Amino acid sequence: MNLLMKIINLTIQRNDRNILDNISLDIHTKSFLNIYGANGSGKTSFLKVITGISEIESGAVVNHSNNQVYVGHKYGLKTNLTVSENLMLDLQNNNRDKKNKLTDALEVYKMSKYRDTLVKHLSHGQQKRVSLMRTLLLDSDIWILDEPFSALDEETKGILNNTFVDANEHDKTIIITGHSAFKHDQLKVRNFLLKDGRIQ
Amino acid sequence: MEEFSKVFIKEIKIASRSGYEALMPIMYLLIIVLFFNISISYISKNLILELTPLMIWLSCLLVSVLNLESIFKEDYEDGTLDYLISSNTFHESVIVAKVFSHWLLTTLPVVVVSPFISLLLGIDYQTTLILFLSLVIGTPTMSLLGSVAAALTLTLKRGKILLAIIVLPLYVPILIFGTSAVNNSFLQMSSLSELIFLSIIFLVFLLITPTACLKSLRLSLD
Repeated sequence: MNLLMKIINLTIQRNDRNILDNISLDIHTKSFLNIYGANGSGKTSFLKVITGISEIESGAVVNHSNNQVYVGHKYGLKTNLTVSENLMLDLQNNNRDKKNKLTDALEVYKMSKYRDTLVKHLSHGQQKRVSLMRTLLLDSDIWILDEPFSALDEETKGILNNTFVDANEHDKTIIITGHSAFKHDQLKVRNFLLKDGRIQ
Repeated sequence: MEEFSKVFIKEIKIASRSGYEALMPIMYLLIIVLFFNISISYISKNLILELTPLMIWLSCLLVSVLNLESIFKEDYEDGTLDYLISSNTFHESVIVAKVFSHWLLTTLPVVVVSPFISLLLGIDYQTTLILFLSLVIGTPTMSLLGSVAAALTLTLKRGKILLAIIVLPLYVPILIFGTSAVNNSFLQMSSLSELIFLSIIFLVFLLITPTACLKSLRLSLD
């Protein structure tokens, strides 16, 4: 397995408190990481730094892939556009292959009948499904998902678990956050507890 | 260029769904112009004629400031900004696309309406033309400059006033060259040097502001 991302002595400070304190981590291709911890433990801050959304104050993140997809707490969807418009505009080329991909992704997440529905007419859970569909549409090496199971019903959690297995088989690297350790029969999950700014 | 067109198409599509919102800046401009005219109606007609094009220029500037906050606000609130920045395709071209589409949708309608207001208020064709040209060059520069301030005040709850305070002093050179171009034309003098200066300012800010804006956005999202 190749080294995909190297996090070296990463420290983030907010209001004189170390949210992340000297964290070092190697992330390899095809690995599955779950960073878990209590509210305010710094999970989202960690993801925002490794995705490049936030500036690095101290330490370094060496990312060997420039092809990643991030799904955060906010879904990044335009409510005045339809589901398909939101997703198609993310794709590089509007060709037939991509349209087929969109159809497949809609079927996987059981959202085909909402294809032409405005996002503002969908429930929160359905909007989250649409944002998660981006992982299937973009050929990204790394999936970075912030609390992907929150706001989802049991059926969608099952779908998401299946997509994780499928992605893992296709050498994707997945980093998720949550409030507890994540176990999966078909995946080798590395669980890290984030507490007091340190990974344990 | 692909990123530019992707963002640009998305912005136009979103705006096309927002209905009457595009008309709001025009309504605002008409109200300001009307108020100006009421407030100066007691002074001599010649003076009113001299002040009118300058007043239109100033009104456009104020309308432009009013809309600045919305360049990134919606993207920030719905998470699009996080998504874009994390996707590694968020470059200067995306910033330029966002600022250009914002200018096209919120300020250009005002710029297009301005010559009609000018003619309606009795200003000659030559001055009206110079007014239009100076606004076409000056207002995108204001949008570019404003985008940096909009990025810096993005996460602030009452950022609109701070945004105006940051941006208005920076607009002074644009206002000076814009209004003096119009005034020169009214006095039947050449406005060419002012228009050239406005163009140079535009090109300089086109080069500088996207990078500054990108950096400001990352700082704000921290």
